[in-house]
Parts: sequence; C-alpha cells; structure tokens
Amino acid sequence: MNEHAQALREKSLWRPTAALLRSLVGGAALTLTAVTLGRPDLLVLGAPLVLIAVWSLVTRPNGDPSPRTSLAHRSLREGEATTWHTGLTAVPGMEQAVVAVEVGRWVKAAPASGIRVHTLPADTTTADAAIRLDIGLQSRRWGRREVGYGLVAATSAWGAFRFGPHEFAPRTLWTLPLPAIFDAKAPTPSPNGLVGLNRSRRAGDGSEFANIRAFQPGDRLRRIHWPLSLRAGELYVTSTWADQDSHVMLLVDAQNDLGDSGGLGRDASSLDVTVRATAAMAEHYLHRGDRVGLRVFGALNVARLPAMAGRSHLRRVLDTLASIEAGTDRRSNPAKVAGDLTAGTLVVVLSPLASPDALTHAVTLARRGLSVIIIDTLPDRVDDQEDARTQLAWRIRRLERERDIRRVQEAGIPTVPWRGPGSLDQVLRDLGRRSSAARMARR
Amino acid sequence: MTSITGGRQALVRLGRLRRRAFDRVIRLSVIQLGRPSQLSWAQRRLTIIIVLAPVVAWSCSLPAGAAFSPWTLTAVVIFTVFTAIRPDSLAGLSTVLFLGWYWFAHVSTHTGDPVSPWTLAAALSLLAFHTATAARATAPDPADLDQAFWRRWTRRVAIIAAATAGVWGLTAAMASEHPGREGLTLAALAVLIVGAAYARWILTRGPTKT
Repeated sequence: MNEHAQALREKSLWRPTAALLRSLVGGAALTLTAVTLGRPDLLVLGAPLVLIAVWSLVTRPNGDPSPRTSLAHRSLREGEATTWHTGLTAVPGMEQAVVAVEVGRWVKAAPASGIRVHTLPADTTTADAAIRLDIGLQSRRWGRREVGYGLVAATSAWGAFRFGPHEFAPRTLWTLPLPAIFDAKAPTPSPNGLVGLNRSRRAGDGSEFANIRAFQPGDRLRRIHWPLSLRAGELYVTSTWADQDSHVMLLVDAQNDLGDSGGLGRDASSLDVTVRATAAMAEHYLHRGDRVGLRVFGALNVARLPAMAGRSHLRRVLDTLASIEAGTDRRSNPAKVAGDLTAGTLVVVLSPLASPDALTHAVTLARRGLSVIIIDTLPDRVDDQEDARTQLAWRIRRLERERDIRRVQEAGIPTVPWRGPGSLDQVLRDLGRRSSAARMARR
Repeated sequence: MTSITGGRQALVRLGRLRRRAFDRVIRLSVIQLGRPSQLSWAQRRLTIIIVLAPVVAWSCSLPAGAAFSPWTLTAVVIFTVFTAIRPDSLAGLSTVLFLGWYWFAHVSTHTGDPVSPWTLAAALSLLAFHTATAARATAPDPADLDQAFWRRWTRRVAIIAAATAGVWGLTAAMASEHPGREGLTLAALAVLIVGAAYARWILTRGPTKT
C-alpha cells in the first residue's frame, strides 16, 4: 500500500470529538469531586455528562463509510444544472452525514449553502446501506471550471465520534456558451463551396431564377420553359444561379475581458458578448450549411478550428470557445492568424476593440483581398465607473477607440456593434455589392 | 547593564506578542459575531441555547445559596461566547469545568438542602449546553438541519433529562434518609448508570446472527 493510500486510510478513521472529551472529562471531574469531597450536588451536575459519555461509547461506530463522489455531467450549457453525487456506506453507529461543496462565483448550488445534511433513520443499523447526498450545481457562465471541491463527514450519536472530514478532489465541468439570438437574411458575399444555400455569381443548379435563354445541348428537359418555347417556335430553358456554401472564419479577440460579468441573464462582460455572439454566428451559418472556422488570439491553449460544416462541428466550436481564458497570451501575429485563408472567405472579427491588435488583424486580412467585417462587442455600460480617474481614462480610451474605428472604416472595413439578429444584414449586402465590383488587393 | 536591557527588551517583545495574540483572538471573535447571517436558522437556535444555558446554570446557583459574583458571571459569558464561536473546541469543556468549580466553591451544601431542586435545574442547563454545542459542531454554520435531526436529538435529551431527574431524586432521597452517607448514594448511582448503559446497549445492538 503506498503512502497516499495509507494516509487516506488513516484519515478515514472515526475520531473522538470535543463533545466526547467534554462529556468524559467534565463528567469524570464532577463525579470524582463529588465522590472524594462528599458533594452529591456535583454528582447531579455531572450525571447528564456521564450518561452521555457512556451512551456515546456504547454506540461507538464501527467500520469505514467509504465516501465516493461523482458528477452527473461533464459538460453543460450556460444555465443548465447538474448534480454532484456523494455516496457513503452506512455503518453501524453512524447517524449523520454532511457534505459541503465549495460554491464558486459562477456556480449556483441547491441548497444555496452547498451543504447537505442527512440524518439516518433510527432503524438504519445494517451495514452496506448506501447514503446518497446530492447537491445541485447550476453553471451560470461559460468556461472551464473546477467544481466539487469539498468535504464529507459523518458523526455518531451525540456527535461523539467523527469520520473525516474527508476531502474529495474537484472535477472539471465544461460550460458551453449559450449562443445569443442571431439571424442574417443577407447572403454571404462570395460563396465558393460546392453545395449550400447561398446564391453564387455563376449560373448552375440552384433554386433562384437567373434568366430564360435558348436551349443548349446538355440542358435538362425539366428546365424547358414551355409557354415561351410554344410562342417562339424553338426551345427555351429557365436558368438558375448555382447554390454554394460559404467559408466563414470567426476571429475572436480574447486579449481583454472588460466589464463585470454577472453570468447568464445578468450583466455581460466584453468576452461574454464576444463568445456568445461567436457561438450564435457559428450556429447560424452551420445550420445554413456553410463551413465555419474559428481562430482565437489573446488566449493560450485554444485550438484553431479549420473550416468545416455540419452540426457536429458546432459542438467543436462551443468546446473551443469554452476553453478561452482571457489575456493569457499577449503575443499577436496577424500573419499567423491569417494563415491559409483563401479568397472568398468571409472573416468576421469579434472584438471589444480595446487594443489595436484586432484592428491590425482586420486590416491585414482585408489587404489580402478577404471580405472582413468587424463586430464591436464592447458592452454599453462598461465605463460606468465610480472613480473619477477611471471615468476619465475610459473617456480618453473611448475617444482613441472611435478614432481607430473611423480609420478602419475609411479603409473599407465595415464595423458594426453587436445587436443580435440583423446585426450583419446591411454590411453583408454592402459587401456583396462591393465584391461584384473590380478592386485591387495587396498581396 | 547590557543583560538587563536585553531582558527588558525580551519582556517588551513578549508583552507585544501577547497583546497581538489577544488582539487577534478578540478580532476573530468580533468578526465571527458580526456574521450572524452566515448561520442557518437551525444553527442560530443552537447558538442561542449555547449562550443562554450556562448563564441559566449560573443563575441557579443564586437561589441555591451562592453569593452574587459579577466576575464569575463575566467569565461564564466569555466562555460561552467562545464556545458559540468555536463549538468544536475545548472552550465547551472549559465552560463545564468552570461552572463545576464555581458551583463547588460558591454553593454551600452544609447550610441548607444538599441537593436542592436548583441543582437539577443547573444540571439540565448543562445538559442543554452540552447537547447544543455537540449538535452545532456536527454541521457547518450555514447548514440546515432536517426534521429527523431535531426529533432524534430532542428524544435523546428527554431521555437523559429523565435519567438526570432520577439521579437527582435518588440523591435527594438518600441524602435526606442517610445524611452524611453519600458513599452509599454514590454507589447506588454508579449502579444506576452502569445499568442504564447496559440497557441502552441491549436495546441498540443489532439482531444476533444465527
């Protein structure tokens, strides 16, 4: 048996408590004084303590309750709840079990204290009866966190002997961001995939009407426009625009987390807005059949997700977003972020624009001929500060920020605040019109 | 001269350390007392019993023949407050021992009734104090205690209270019948206690396996 197991075994013994010591020493002292000095009143005073001490010793527990813990779910969506199970084996003499779980800032427990006390029924004397202490844990914010750090203890009659407190290891709970509500009616500007819902600029198999033209060998018979063919005396067919999917790259700025986050349904920090908006856009475009990729800068150990389609890819996006820890990586390399992005990719940069790095990334990508949109995710009330100096600093930063945004817009990169559904419609239409025009790209 | 100065400095340092330790204890106590909202309602009720029961036991000494002693009352209050703050510590034992010493030193049994009814009242107060302290230490401060807990502990306290009343009655009877022969009384009580323990063990042991 190794040292750790030995230490755990030693810890798991039933130990006498201060209550037993009090009843034993107090009762013995009063009784002995009564006997030796002939004071029957002290005997009466000590009688309850002596009786309790005897009772406690007679009902001394025997055996190891063997605590076990488990978490019902390893990953949740924001606002969802799971259960922390703590199991104990009832042993003779055990009367009460207590489990206390540390409740973090973003976790709401039921009961609210994170403590559950279970009193065993009086007839529970059989060994191996299982006691189950469940504590509900609701995750209020996306991210990876350790939950379930806590203690479990059990006591015997009169609280005379205590098992534990036995410390149990926390478990990792992944909370996936709950996507915000998002919808975009405008098509993406440069669809270039094989199949999808976006109308491309070339004719082909699709559902959207393009024009009516003369029949050519290879045209399908079901495309023949019979009314016009009968009037003209020769065959005409209906042609359509091809449907294609788009490549949408979501670029997330995780360098800063500005504002105070209150969890789901409360005040949102800049990173909350960014992450939920990213999740919403990923969900929207993946449901339309587009390919969505994800890149994060400003956070370490976050995977680069290549552009893929399908609903299972949404789970990958959410998992990646949940692993973001703001400001853990201060290095910023626009060339590395741009990487292998090809022409026709719609790049959506989601950033609070608190540092110039996001704008640098956007300009670099736009100069490579990519369609770039910047979504401003700075919350409205982020500069509500009580301190006058902080207010002044925010005012200066706001002015600098507005200047930077103006310059980027002058460079042809649309910047829109995140407003949920319809946030991107106007800029997508503008980009669509612009993409059909001739332009010069710097490579 | 140097050694005298060094000794003074050591004494001054010791005094500072003591003051710091005392300040720390007082600060902790004030912090703990300033956070009653952390206690659940069940723990608050138990805390009230912890604070009141020793004072009631002390009060019983007055009609039992003790002279009013404000400093002992102050000491009892200090002990009980510390017990309420740290129920799982030796503060409770200190309270019991102090009350026992106080009763022994201030209540005279030679002038009046050796085991007055006030003795029983004090013993029941001690029972309440010990029980509340033990119960409070079984769960953290914010923990809610369920109905089964209250039923079980109330039933037990009633059993011990009845036994204590029996001890008191027996002692009073023996003291009035055979004044000065407390040894006989004590022997009878010892038999009673051992018998009660045996009965309890018989009642609570599991079924014999065949």
